Amino acid sequence: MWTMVKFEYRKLWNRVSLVAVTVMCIISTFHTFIYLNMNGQWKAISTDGQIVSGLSAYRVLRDASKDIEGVIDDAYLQKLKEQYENSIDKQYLDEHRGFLGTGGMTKYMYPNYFINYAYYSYYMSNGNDKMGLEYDFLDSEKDFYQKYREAVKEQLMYENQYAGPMKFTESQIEVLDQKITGIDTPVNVAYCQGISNFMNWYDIEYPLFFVVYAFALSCVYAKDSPSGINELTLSSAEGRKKDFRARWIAGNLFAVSTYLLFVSVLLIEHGAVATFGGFGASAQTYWFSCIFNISIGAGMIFKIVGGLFGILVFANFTMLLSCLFRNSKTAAVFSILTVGALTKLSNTYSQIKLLYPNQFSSDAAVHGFFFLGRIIVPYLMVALFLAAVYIGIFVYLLGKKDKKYFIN
Amino acid sequence: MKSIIRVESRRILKKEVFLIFLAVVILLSISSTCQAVKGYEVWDEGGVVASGRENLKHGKENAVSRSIEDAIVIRRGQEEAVFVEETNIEKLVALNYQDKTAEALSDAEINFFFENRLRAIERRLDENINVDYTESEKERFMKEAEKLISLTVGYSEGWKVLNRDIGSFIVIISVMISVIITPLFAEETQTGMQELSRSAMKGKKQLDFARIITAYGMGSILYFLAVLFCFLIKMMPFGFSGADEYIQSSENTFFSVFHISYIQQFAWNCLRGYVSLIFVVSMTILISVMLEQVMAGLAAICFFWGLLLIMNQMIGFEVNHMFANFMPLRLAGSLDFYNRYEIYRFAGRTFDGIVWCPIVALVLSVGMAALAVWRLHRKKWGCFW
Repeated sequence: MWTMVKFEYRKLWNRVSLVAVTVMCIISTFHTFIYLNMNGQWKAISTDGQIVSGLSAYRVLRDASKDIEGVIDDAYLQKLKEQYENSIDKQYLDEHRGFLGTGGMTKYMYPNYFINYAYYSYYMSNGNDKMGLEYDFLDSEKDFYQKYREAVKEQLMYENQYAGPMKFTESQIEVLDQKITGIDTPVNVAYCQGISNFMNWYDIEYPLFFVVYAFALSCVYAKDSPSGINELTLSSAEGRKKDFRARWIAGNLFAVSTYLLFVSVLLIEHGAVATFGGFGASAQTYWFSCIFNISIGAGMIFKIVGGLFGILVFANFTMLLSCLFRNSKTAAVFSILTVGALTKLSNTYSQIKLLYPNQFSSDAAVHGFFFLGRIIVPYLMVALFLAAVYIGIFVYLLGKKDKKYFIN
Repeated sequence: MKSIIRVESRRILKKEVFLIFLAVVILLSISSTCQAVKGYEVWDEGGVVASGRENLKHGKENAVSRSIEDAIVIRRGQEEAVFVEETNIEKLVALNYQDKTAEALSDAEINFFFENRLRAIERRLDENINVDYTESEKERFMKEAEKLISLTVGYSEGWKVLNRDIGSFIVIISVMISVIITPLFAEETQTGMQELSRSAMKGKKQLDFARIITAYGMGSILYFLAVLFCFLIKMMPFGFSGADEYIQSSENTFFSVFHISYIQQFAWNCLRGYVSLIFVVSMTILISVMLEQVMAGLAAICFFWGLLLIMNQMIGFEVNHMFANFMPLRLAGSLDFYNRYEIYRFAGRTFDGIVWCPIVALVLSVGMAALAVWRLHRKKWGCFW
């Protein structure tokens, strides 16, 4: 069996999939370096107040950020207020009001945005006007975290009211309160621009990964292979059983291996440019409304794992289409149309979109959750369950189809 | 030659494919029109006050073509703007007088409508962080902007919507056309027809030439057919009036320095779209000649569009200026060419982006077509049995 899988896996690396995978890697690399290196866009304020643009901006930002890394406790808050008030960064931001909104970066983004979230809650965004530290609640650590917890609850309640599929019940709100109270404080803040860049680029490129599978896996059960051998092997009695299964395993292996390749390319590129500093910082300093006690690095891994579930669902869907149409071009066209439809449908505030496989890798994989009675179930677990259900359905349909796979 | 072109045309554009193409064009046009009409819904705290159709009907019946100054004076004495003919005036006032309403304007301010617009354009030129204009370039822009000395506003919603949406429609049509013409040069291995036709007497230069003509010819016919359908379907609920109004009566192009009417803008948009189609066809020919397989060609084309979509999402001036502006997505679909005062300097002269980018795209198209022809010429064809 595994010999067959090995051969089927090798066969999947044909000219079409090679073109798709190579072009995807090239696009990803260009996308990373061209946009990260744009002098007019990405700028950082160095320790001595110089504005540095392009790729070196990230190194400068990392060096400067050593000052602000640490645990946000009472002493940190008082020191930060004083330090920021007298900083070159503040002076520069006051004089250049659009700096942070147009690709500008300062080391104070990390603690100040987190602190401002406590004030703005779901109205929080980025920009110079969200950097101020003139809040009474900053006088004590206790008041600050109290205010922060209120902001988290306010945001979660607001999102549930306007976009949630089911409104929270009283008892669920109680559980939510307990969970919010249980957030580990004081939080740990650190420079995390490399991880942030990786996640932003990953989110943008993720739908393109699907297109690779639309082309590469649409030929798995198709009858229009160049040699015509596929039709013969798949129509034989053994072929309908063993070969069908071997192709399915090979297709999934192909999906996993190429996905890991894409993610590795992105990780290497962004790691090389901006490093993965801040891996151990609290997730709350990046995903402000996160109620789980994890680090930013763990959040990044959650996204990658969620993305893998999504990829596997789509790979199985494409293989099913290939079996249904038995024509690689038609299967590829329908798969691409599905990618387009999923992308379009995801453009909504409604949380219904979390059911789509392209959302398994979204930020919801880190901070999203659903209630099962009084139990909080993280979205990543829901994504795992959904992926198993979707794949189960596709495999069942494939199994039904293979019995009727006859040669023309 | 004619018969080869006819046969090749039939080969790639079978009846079913043509019907699917037509169905998609009609569906896209209808869905885009419905969305555009829905965009005219009037809302308040209690919900929908008037549906899109009602709003447009009100606009058609009540909008009168008059100068912008008169329109503002009339608006001053009226209640809050609700319907399209009223909100249009308010939008232009807000743009020209920094978010003021018509009610808040004095007679003197209204009389200085065009001077105000010129000042705003000058400020935009001065504050542009991406381009450092020379004095003569600024002067040229201002001279163009000064040509607008009167502005008639009436009902021209159909043209505004058409010119806003036609770009994205052309992009989708271009993708479909490139999918349709890919099999022209790519192999069909199972049938073995490629080898057979290449071994025939007219199977080399003449066949290549015929296929190239088929690609551009078929692309052009499908393009103009699709644009015609889109035009008719889009304009149906909005009406055709307002074609001769200047594009500055639209909030989308109020600060544009181009002194053209909506119908001229539509012609420009169609022409830009056509250039982008020529680019897409040339690129498709080159890719299918290089990769030889339909699926591999489609994959490459698909990722090319993916790259352009990513670029469009990232909004980086340098990338757009140096690359994406010449590519079909922005070339056919972007309104920036009217509003951003983007210039290209070449051989001591300055060119507007709207003129320069289609020229560069055409040059690139010719280059790609020439490369494909060279590759075809170098290729060894023959029957191998």
